[in-house]
Amino acid sequence: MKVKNKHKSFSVKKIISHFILIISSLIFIFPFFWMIMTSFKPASEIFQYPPTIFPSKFLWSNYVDTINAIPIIRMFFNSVFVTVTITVGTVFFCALSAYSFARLRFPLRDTLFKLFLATMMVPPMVTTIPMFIIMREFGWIDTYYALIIPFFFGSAFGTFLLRQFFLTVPMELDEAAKMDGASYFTIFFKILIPLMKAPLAALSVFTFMGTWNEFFWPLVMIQTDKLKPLTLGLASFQGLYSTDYHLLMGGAVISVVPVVIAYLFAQKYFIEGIALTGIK
Amino acid sequence: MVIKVVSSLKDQKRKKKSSPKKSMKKQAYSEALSGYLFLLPNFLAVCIFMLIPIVFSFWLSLTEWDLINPPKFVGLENYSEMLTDGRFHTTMKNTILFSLITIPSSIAISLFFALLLNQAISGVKTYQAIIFMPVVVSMVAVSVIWRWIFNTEVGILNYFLDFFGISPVGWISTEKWALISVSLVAIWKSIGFNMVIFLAGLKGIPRQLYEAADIDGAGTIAKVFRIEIPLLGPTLFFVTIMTVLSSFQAFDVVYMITDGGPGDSTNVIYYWIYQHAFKFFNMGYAAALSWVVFAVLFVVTLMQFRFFGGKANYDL
Repeated sequence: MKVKNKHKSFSVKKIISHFILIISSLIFIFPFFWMIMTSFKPASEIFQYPPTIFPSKFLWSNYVDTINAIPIIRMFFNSVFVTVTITVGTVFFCALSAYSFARLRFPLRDTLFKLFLATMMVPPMVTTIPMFIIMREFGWIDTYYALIIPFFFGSAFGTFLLRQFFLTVPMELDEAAKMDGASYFTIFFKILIPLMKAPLAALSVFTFMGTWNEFFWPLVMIQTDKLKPLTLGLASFQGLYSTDYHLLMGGAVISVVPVVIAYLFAQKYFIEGIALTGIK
Repeated sequence: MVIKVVSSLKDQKRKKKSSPKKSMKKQAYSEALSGYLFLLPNFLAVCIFMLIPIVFSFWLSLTEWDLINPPKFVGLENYSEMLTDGRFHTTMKNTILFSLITIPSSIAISLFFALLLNQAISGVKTYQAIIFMPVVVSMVAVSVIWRWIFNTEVGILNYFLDFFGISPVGWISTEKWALISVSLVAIWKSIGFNMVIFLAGLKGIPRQLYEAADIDGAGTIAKVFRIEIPLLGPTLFFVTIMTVLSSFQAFDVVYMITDGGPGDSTNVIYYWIYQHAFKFFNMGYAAALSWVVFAVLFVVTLMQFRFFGGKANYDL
């Protein structure tokens, strides 16, 4: 990746760039560092001024206090359950639907797709209000159903995204398989899906991230602590223990760690996924 | 699991309907059937959870309903009420102000970083990973952290400013600064996302252009302004639309850091709608408000297409 350049300003430019990037990186990383440090400080040390950068001692007991203060372990599992279910469901049903729109011919296909696109234009705040009333009618308020079902069968966006990629695969593959007697589902599952690894990974990452971090929807639909995902749990936590910053930071750490770990391992997919969507 | 059962059932259905020798009509029929079946779950979901709520919301906006008493049809009264609702004007003003601060800053800074990282320097992946990190975590968690950083008496930000002899700022405790602080957090969190998209756009610029510029003796600044920024047209267009949409719908950060306050200084439209629907239970008025916001967003997006749509497509 090193480019040979004859200009003398080459190295100066690089040094300045590094300098700016290092300072900026500190600005992006510091809040996380500060969150971790604060989570280990004894309560008395939090309000000290001038503040200490490192805790005088690393109080792991703060985390025990956090776990006792709110059912954060339960909330953690709620987040996992809801996020994984929705991600799996969305990817599968959107892929199936996208394949249908991209590959199969049937009456009204394009009209139906345009309808899909139209719904994507409407901001969530328009639909959440009536959805609350509808969920109330279904008796789904304060249940996992309200959190999962509306999203489990995929979204218009996911289908739109995957359809773009299905369209780029040459039809010859489908036709060859059909001549061998393969059913449409087999073509979908055995041939096209393996070719769609990148877009499928991108959609999975988006859905995972979006669902794990979702706040407004659970805020409206869930009142009982037992069912709250981490985002909502953290908000309630702040409501109850608004000045117990050492505990709040601990809660934040717990809610942030899974996504950050997933991110650090699958960085490539996160970043490429975003880039992929941008280009399409 | 369930999915495997469903898929094998579908497979069986397919096999049942297909026989080795088919007429063209039967083929088309079978294809159409598969077509409908495959999109059915997804489509039904979009119908039930998007289309129907949209229509319902429209009807709602013409009613007055507190969920306890039956809904009362009031026609366009909700909309006319908005014209005289002072607090609605305040929230719209706040939202626009918030957007005016957030959008240009976020775009300019992320573009700057993208340009920096587009060079052949070491550690690009690491820098990118760090700058992108705020994007992957929830705004809720980010807000909890920043609320602590912004603390007037013992927050680390004021302590840092103290080093430079600047007296403590009431970042979230004063009306003057609250909107700016909330905006700062939104900018901080969004830079990585926009930067990655810009980087992807920059990678798409053909090398010949750079080489031609080198032959003409162009310096870095000239390359940035004559080649990179013009050719980033489509990318810039996309990023601007996304940023506009997300700034207008800011909610989490306001809910978690300032609760709309102090006073009404950070009460943005989405927060205001939330209050009407789920605190005051004015479902009708809230629905009407949401449609007005949709209309504003629609017009703004349309304007962007009209003014910058030309730049969204180009042929090289």
